[in-house]
Amino acid sequence: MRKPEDWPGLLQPETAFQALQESIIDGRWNDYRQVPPEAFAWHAWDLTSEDQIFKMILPFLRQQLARAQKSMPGIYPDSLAKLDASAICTEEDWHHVPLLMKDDDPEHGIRGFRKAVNNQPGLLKPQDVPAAAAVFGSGGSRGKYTPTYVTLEDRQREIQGWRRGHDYHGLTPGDVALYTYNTTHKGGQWMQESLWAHGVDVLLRRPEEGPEKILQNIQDYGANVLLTVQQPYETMKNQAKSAGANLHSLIMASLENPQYRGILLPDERGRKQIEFIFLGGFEIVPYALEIVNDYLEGTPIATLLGSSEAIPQACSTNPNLTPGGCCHHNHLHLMQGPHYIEVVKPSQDSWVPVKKGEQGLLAFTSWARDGTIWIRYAPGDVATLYLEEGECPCGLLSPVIDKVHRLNPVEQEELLTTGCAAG
Amino acid sequence: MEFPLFIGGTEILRQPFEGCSPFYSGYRYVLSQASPLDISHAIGCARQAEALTLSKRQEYLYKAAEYFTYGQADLEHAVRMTGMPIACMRTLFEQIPQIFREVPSILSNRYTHSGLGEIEEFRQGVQKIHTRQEGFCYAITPGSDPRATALVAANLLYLGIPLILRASIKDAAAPLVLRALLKSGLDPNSCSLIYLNKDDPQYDQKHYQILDACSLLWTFGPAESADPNLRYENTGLRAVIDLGASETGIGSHSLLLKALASKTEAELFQSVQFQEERRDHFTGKQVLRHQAGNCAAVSWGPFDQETRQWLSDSLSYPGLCMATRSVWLIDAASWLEEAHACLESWKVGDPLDPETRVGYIHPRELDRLQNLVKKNSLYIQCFGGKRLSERQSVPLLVAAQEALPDFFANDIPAYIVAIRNCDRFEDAIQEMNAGSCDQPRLAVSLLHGPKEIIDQVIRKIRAHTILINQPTTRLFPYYHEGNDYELLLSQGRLLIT
Repeated sequence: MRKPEDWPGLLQPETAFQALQESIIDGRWNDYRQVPPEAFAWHAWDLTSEDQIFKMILPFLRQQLARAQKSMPGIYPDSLAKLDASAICTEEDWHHVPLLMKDDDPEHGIRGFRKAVNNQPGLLKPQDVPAAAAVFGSGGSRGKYTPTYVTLEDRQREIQGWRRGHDYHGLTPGDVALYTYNTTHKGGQWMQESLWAHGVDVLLRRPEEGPEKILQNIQDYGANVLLTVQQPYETMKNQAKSAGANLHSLIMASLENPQYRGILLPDERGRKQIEFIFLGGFEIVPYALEIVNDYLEGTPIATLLGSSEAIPQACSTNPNLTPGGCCHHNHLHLMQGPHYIEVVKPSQDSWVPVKKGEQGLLAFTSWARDGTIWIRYAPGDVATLYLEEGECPCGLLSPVIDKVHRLNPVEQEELLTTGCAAG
Repeated sequence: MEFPLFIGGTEILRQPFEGCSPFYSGYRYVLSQASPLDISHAIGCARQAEALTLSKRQEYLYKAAEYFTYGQADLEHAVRMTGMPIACMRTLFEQIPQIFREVPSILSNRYTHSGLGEIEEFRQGVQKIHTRQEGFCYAITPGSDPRATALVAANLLYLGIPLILRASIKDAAAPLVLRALLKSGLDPNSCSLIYLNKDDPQYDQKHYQILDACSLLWTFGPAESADPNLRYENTGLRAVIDLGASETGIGSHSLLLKALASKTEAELFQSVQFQEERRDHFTGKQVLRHQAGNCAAVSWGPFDQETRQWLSDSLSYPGLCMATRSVWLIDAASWLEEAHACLESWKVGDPLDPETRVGYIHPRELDRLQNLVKKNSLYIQCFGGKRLSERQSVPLLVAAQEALPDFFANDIPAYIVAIRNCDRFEDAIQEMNAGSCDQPRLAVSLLHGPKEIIDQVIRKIRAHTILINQPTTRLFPYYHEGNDYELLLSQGRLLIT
């Protein structure tokens, strides 16, 4: 694990990023495929101002806009028909690009694509996708899931992007991570691959393994990082997926079986093997914070926001690495690249960034994606802008959001019981 | 008042819920509800409790006797929750330190101890070694008797068995007992106290969580009332088709299909039965039951001053299992009138008044008593028993022409004593035994009986305890059902040398 004194080392923008920036801005690079996947692991993305980021990715936003108009006619024709991608030159122009939504929003004149995609999921596969694609479904809300098509290269880009999150969580090559996620989920797969790419030994949890076996494996293989989930206490009763492996069940097994002390729970000398816990899902729920506080005596926890449509979107940092930071637990730094992440509100005929303290829709644009092209796609999640860029004392420049949740409470509940957060 | 959890020696205030008095409206107090992780914590503590030597265990129990304290607020709370008169409640609280002292003293006198376990000598060279079982005990105390926690804790801790106590929300003494034990220096892992809230949707699951982890369960109350709540978990409904007796012995799939095909749809529909599937959580556990009392007495001769005192002590407070419920009279001329006068002289009032002798009884029990009286009215004469309010009645004396099971074989937790005249002791014994139901009576008291008659007949009495010229309430709680916990909780092995 990274030590706190090593944190400043992460805050140095990679020189290659500047070269990349120059190549794009001076027009030599105008195809997102020219950006090497490993570039998305550079911290510079989070140390560069939003203005600079926008200028940098503008050619690719235009590229994807044009692609979407042509190659996803079943999704975008109405909303993007009037737009000339080449005419988008400023952020203000971009704000006039309409949002894409799954469900109809009559108030803002947006027709959703759910009905069309329910009948024909293939509408979300661009006609010009250059390689074979895997399909990942969005987590279980309202019946059929909607697919996101992803190629191997897309996977690489997102995995590399996730590696920044691992850095901010303090993971270093040589660490050993055990994760309890469902590997049929995109999140579960990407977790494994990104850890692997990061130089971390990875232990899977087999579906039949219960909490005691997981603890035994942690002990046997010397894991020092745990990646798992924790739902709200009330929701656990309605668990529809998983064999019940979550932080609660691991703590329960540790409490009931003294031979497992010193792994997750401290032993009588205060020692514990697990140095960091990643908790996935929409948010680190209050129950998780409560049990970490009550039983784990200061084990740092953090999360990374992502979905089958786009990974990564935002992440919090390891509190032990950034003790003065305001980006712990559910306060998340936006992570630009390979997706463009916005928090927007309606303003006349456009969707503009929210101001500090305001709540808005999370929208992402997959500007470096062979597969499903999301152009300002707002799946229904909202967030509040907690800190403007540069305000977080940790040193990362990107803005900080919090209170991320699904606007529709029924969908929120479903995601908690059957989505990624269910494990 | 606040009632925390005690886990691993720490008092934990968590997930508060309210308790209220069934007798004093508006009286509220706060208890902490154990979460599933609290329960896991308690289980983990029990599993890693220190194995102490016998002398150490004795030492801690003796110390706990010294450290046990209670205040007026504790007494009053107990009265508000049980309806027991405060004078009676104080007597019971005072007995708690005695339990801590006497349990180790009596058990150490009774058995020879060694490093292997308890030794029973058959003859020279042949011994039986009793070694205690592994695991921990899950004890559920009732709340009606403040001594219950001390009784359970003293016996189990003397035997070296860790325990998780789930106290009734009415139990005022449980936290006081825990504090005394912890203060004595006992390993805090060996004794935890939790509360569960019956309104919690996870109540059953939490109970099963502890039950499935323990090896020994200690409950209070007869099986028919305890088991439905504690033992069985409904796991689903099963549809069963009854193919009738002629189809018994269907051994093959083809014969089964043939049997089904021989029925019409209507016949099949009629033969479907739905059965609840249940999981028995007691499977594999050793279960200790503190059964009901159903205590009785036989009294010879007239009602004198000693009898008056004996009667007063015998009835005590009806919520206690040692209270006498029925009396057989032999050669007792004026007994009925004198007993009635005695009961009438008792002060009926607010249990918090130190002068009150007759306290509150749960309305459900008083209603039940009224119904029993009505049902048996042709066979009984009633003296007293006037209902003063929904929770209080004047004590009732029932003189019966027959040994009616409703009164002579029934534990009614109300101020009632049923009496019956008999010509001979043997007849009284016969009727008393017939009314002892599935379990022997907890205690039988013989007052003023001729020694030679008692000696002849005593072995025929179906009871765990026989008291001579003493009220049944003199039975100390650790002698409940003979108190053979030492043997019940051990496995015996013969050692031949």
